Amino acid sequence: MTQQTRDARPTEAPPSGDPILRVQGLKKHFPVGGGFLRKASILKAVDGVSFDVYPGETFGLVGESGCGKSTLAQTIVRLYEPTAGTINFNGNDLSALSASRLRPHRREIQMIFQDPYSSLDPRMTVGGIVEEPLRNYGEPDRRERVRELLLQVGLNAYFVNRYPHEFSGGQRQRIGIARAIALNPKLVVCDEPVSALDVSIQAQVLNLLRGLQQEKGLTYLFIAHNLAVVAHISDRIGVMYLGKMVEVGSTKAITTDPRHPYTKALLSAAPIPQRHLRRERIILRGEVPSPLNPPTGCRFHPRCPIAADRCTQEEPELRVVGPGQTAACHFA
Amino acid sequence: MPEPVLEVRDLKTQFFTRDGVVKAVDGVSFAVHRGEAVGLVGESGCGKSMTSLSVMRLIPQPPGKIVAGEVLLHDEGTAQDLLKLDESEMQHIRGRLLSMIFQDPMTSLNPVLTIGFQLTEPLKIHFNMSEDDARKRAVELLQQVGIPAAAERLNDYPHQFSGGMRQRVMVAIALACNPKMLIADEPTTALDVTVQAQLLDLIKELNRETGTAVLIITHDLGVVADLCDRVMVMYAGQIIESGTGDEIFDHPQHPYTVGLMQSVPRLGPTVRDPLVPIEGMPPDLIAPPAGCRFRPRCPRAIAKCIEPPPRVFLGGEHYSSCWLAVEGVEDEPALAGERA
Ligand SMILES: Nc1ncnc2c1ncn2[C@@H]1O[C@H](COP(=O)(O)OP(=O)(O)OP(=O)(O)O)[C@@H](O)[C@H]1O
Ligand SMILES: Nc1ncnc2c1ncn2[C@@H]1O[C@H](COP(=O)(O)OP(=O)(O)OP(=O)(O)O)[C@@H](O)[C@H]1O
Ligand code: SF4
Ligand SMILES: [Mg+2]
Ligand SMILES: [Mg+2]
Repeated sequence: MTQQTRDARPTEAPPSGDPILRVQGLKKHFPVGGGFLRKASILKAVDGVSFDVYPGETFGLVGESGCGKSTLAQTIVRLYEPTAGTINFNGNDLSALSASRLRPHRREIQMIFQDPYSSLDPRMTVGGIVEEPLRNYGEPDRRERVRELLLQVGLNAYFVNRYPHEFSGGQRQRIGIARAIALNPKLVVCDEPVSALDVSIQAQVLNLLRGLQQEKGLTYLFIAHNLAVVAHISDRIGVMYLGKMVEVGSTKAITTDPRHPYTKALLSAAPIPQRHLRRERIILRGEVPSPLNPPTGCRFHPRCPIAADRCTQEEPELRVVGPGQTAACHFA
Repeated sequence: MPEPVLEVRDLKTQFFTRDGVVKAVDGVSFAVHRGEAVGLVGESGCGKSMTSLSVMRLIPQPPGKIVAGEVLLHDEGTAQDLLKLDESEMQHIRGRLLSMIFQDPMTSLNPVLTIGFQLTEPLKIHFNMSEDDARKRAVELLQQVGIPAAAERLNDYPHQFSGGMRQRVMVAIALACNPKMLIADEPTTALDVTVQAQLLDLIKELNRETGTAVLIITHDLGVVADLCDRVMVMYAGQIIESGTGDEIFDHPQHPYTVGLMQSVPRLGPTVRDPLVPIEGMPPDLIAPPAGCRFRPRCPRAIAKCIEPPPRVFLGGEHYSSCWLAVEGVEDEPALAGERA
């Protein structure tokens, strides 16, 4: 469980070849607060996000609560209809496909959810939960597959007849993982899969995810708000703020040479359990503004320690700031 | 070392449930001194909140009960045992000498009262302040915790504040009467990291400036490393290791403490190194394992571990409750096949 999960791939090299997932200009807007004689306002949860994910890598997404990570994930797996933009998966634009044309692609993209308590149907047995996707796609030898899957995620095969409430958070997350990998997907979108778990259990699940990735050549889109967790598992990282991607780079670049002032603040604020690495923190002013009414210009400007006049007017685009590294800041 | 402000001795708190007696806090002893920030860390369910609620005398009874121990609060040269006070005496202590910040601000802010009322009320009660003086002090406090336009916000209700601001209002209320002792139970768990950094900074500053003793409860080792002079590690209802920040982070002795540290990814050059999880799960506190409670999960357990380990002092302020810390015990046979 330990040494062999060490990732041998160099994390600095920018990826090459064709991406498995290419997201371009993706937007998801929600109408909110509308009612009798009242116009709904538009909440721009995801507001023009572009990034690529390459086969076999883990692309991490970090950002604070409400910045749009889950909305982005759910739009990519088409639980939400995108407002604008394209989602290119293995050469097919998923955003343009009808439900029936989407179906064969859907099995290749699976999702693991944050809450190990509400994401499993309490009335179904563990066996039923893991078997469901196999049944949906008419797969053969389902009994045998379910047993295999349970073993692969470190659960006992005799758990098949038990119900989710009989399991701990970490065990439930393993059940969710078994279900997500049942159809041998290419891409697994993991939305905060360890955030609700205690640290010792979190480490067990992170190791499991890494091991499965190596065994099955999975590609992960991995979401968390904890930068250390994201950095641990990811080859590359995208940093989100208020519905926008503000920086993308290799894990090494993001954690040692961040260029966007928000990434710098996030890195400096992350509590580190090593006394000798204690450092000066960049303490940001104020709090994340509401996506209903985002600031003009650069959305980060009201909290940015280096904001200038230009930042209040002109919205910065993502631009290349280093090998394989892009940042959306006028001064990056 | 400066004088102690809070001394907890052999505290035991239990919950009487249909399934049995939950030994939530099982013989906890510690002290917090003037000007000191002490961290209490451990995983979910190990008894951190029940320890702090016992000190505050806020354990829901039934089903809970403090069954043994002493909680001494020192004030001006005298100490009183909070466990011997009645509720009206306790109310006089809470908020004035001893304050607490809770994880969820909405559980302790009253939604139907204005922030101004909630801030001025304790000042009027405990210090007989006039309405005007209390409002002036309230504005000062809100400014101190970084609420902009504080004077205008006194008449606002809690729901009109964001999560981070509510948490800061709670700090302001907790500090209104200059308490000797502040207990913060996961004060930042619900907050974003950048806002969390603001709040921790604030608590640390107050601790330094006013000498308020602080007990911070968290499961985040990083928060403790940044903030605390001393660290106590709790497992299954007991403190199993304690020491200064440097002692615990640089020379952890207890296999559980070591396990916790190896379980968390660390930002820095080693961030992608494999994690070494602690196998298994924490025990049920109705029937905890005999001997060392960590034994079923411990990678280094020996035959001796079937007996309760002694508290071994390791120099400085460092102690650990583990048989391996006892000199000469290392050569004992390993506990093969014991691990579940
Ligand atoms: N179905 C919905 N209808 C309206 N607003 C929504 C909906 N889903 C999300 N939002 C809003 O969109 C914004 C982004 O939410 P989202 O859940 O994507 O954030 P997140 O980054 O995943 O946050 P967290 O870290 O808290 O999970 C938030 O302001 C949220 O309130
Ligand atoms: N009302 C109750 N009835 C029965 N058992 C209880 C009750 N309240 C708490 N307990 C038990 O007491 C033990 C200690 O709980 P406590 O809330 O102190 O844990 P904690 O360390 O604060 O955990 P967390 O990190 O999740 O806040 C737990 O095992 C819990 O199940
Ligand atoms: S006393 Fe034994 S079982 Fe407990 S932590 Fe020490 S070595 Fe492990
Ligand atoms: Mg989310
Ligand atoms: Mg608690």
